[in-house]
Amino acid sequence: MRKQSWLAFLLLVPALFALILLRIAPALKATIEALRDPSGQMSLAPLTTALQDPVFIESVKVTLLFIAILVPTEVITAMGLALLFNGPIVGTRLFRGLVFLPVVVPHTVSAVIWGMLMRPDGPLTNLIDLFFGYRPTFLTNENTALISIVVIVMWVNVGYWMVFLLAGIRDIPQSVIEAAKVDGAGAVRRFSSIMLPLLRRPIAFVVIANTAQSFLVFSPVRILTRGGPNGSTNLLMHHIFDLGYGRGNYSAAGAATLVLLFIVFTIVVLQFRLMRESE
Amino acid sequence: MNLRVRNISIRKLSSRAIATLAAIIAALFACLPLLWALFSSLRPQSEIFTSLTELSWNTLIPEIWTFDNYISLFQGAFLRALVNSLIVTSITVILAVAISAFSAFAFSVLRFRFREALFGIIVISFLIPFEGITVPLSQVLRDLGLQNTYTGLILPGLGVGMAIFLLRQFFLNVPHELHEAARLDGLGWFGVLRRIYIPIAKPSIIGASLIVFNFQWQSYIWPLLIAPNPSMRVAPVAVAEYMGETGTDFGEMFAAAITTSILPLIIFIFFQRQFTESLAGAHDR
Repeated sequence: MRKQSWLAFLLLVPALFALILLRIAPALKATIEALRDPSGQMSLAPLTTALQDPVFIESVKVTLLFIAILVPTEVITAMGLALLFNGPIVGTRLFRGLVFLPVVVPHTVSAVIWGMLMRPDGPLTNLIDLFFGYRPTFLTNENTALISIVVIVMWVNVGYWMVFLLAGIRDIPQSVIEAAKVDGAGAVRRFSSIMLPLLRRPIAFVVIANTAQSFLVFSPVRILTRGGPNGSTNLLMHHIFDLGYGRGNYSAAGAATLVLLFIVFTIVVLQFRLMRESE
Repeated sequence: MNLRVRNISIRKLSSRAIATLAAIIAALFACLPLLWALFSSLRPQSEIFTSLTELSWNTLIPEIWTFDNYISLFQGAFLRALVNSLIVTSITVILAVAISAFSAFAFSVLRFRFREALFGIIVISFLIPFEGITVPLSQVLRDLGLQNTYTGLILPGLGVGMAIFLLRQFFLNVPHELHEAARLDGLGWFGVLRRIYIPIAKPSIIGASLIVFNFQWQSYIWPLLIAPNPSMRVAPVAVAEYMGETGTDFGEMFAAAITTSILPLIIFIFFQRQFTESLAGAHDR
């Protein structure tokens, strides 16, 4: 037992070191930065000032709006795709693989491609002009920029969330579905009364994990809009980056980081408890 | 009666056709942007702007095919970025998988005090998403003098908690009799890990490697913060840089985008099953 303890300690040293350096130290650093005023004194004043900054508040609002649009749309689309690929179609494996493809493409590549597609003279703009007779402004207009970012993020991630929902659907015993069929339940009824209740757990997981991840969206904003036009895409992660890297205001960046960590950590703990329950 | 049977089968067939059509549309939506980027990387520079503005069949398929963009790409600064990415990612995958296998082994096979408590601490800490702490972390590592170094780029990839969970889950399911017998035969603990656990866990090791690879090859915000020096630039950052510049060579930009995507795409096509399964597995637990 004692010998095993030593060995275990040795084996765990690298992971514990990584943990302290990569998670605990930066969380502490953010806290210290957030509480230190320009003279070097520690107090709550810098934190409260940073949290009352209108740009920060606006950024939180934009992030919440972004999530309110993205998460439901993405989960419903992922569910539709999962149902589709669970059905009797030719070449399921191939099509499912193709839909998953954007997930493994580096995010900066996706952002660059979509940025080109959505240019005012880009092919997507031209295509919509051809079919609907108007030229969308996509990323250059503050009314459409956030939606455009939603579209890009969805294109990247929807196949990822589909995987979990598809796994959930596959776990439903075929006999339950067959029994409902025999009882004369149509496809819609089978989905709403049989599948949906049985899929409660995977759906809850996807909604929670997706929400947490959406708080961290960064690359399309940084590459395509830099938070603009007029702050309409200034998501929290981009705002923090801009405060720290762009302006060197690490005190405000630390305060905003604490808020972000608090929100995301709460969501992730919720998700973890949900996963524990399912064991 | 006969008629009814035929009706049903026609209905079945047509619903199957509609579903297949929907699947094709979904696949096209996913793939067309990538194909467009691929074809754009194979057009001469002069064609890129006309193809952008005038919508025709040639918007997708080039009139003239050329590798010029790739030739100029590899003569420029991008090659350095690609090599940096290859170095950083391969070292990260090897180290991260080794570290994860060590801790997973300790947490699943060895017995020691505070085992559950330590595991709990690791789980909770790695639930803090990495991106969230990047800005203060960059300050910490800069203070340690790791700015513009490979070490600075690699380090965050070593803390991928998901890899530990995935391997631990697998190790827990290995019957204890296996290592107990080997121990009686005089094999050391390290031998047990290397000769028994690692070989059995090959699918999980591949899954963990894929997760780490995907994390590191994609990383963007972190290299931006820790390695601003152009000679330390990694491929995803180099691709993004094209977008900000005025007078960008778009052909070269598309070539860089495609080059950066090729490795993950090939790996995904080869390991499609392990990839999706390890994702689902790692999140379910």
